[in-house]
Amino acid sequence: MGQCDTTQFGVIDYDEAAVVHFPAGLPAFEEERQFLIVEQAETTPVVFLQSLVTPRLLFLTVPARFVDPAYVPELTAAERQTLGLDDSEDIPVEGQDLVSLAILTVKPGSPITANLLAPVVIGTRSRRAIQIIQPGTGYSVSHPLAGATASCS
Amino acid sequence: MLVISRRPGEAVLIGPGVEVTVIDVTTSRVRLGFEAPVEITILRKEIQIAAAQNLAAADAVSPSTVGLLLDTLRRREVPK
Repeated sequence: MGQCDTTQFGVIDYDEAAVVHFPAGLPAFEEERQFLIVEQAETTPVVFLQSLVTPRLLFLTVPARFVDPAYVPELTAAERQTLGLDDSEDIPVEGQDLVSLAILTVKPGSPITANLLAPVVIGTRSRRAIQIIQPGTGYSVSHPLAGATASCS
Repeated sequence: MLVISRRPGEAVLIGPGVEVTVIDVTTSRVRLGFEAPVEITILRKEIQIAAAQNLAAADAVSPSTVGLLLDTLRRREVPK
């Protein structure tokens, strides 16, 4: 168990199994290597990615398949190796070998959007993660979350 | 925008220190080689776009936007 100071949730206790390591950080946050995955039954399907070292750094994400049920990340050999998937000849299975999360941008008055161009992909066994870029797939960094307009009340 | 046609093996020069060579061309992909001084950063544009989106996403997080997200998702799940 460890304790993590967060702006959004206060001080939280966590299990090491909930920590993911980003060997290269994330674009614009290259020094942020360790994040905590916070999932709560009452906030499903949201997956919170909380920095272990920067209390105010939190990403709101949902599984990429929540946004697009057919979503499949295309991984290079180097990315598979980083995620610890290199031993397997099989195609990694979403939800089993890896989990793809889309980072959400939520601003009052604007439609909520999900970044499907650059999902966070976590190797479930290695607990290592990369934010991969998927050019050529037609996805954008601000894919509208269908039916989710934050402005209506 | 300046447009120049080049064949594999040919190059263009940018400023005093940057050389971009076309290595290989297929129907859907161009491989480029870059020679530039170390102080010049060369990035795939998508990485810059992803970085800007990450900053925007992280900056917008607050107790109120988290509440907004959860409310919106709850409404979305209600059958129409």
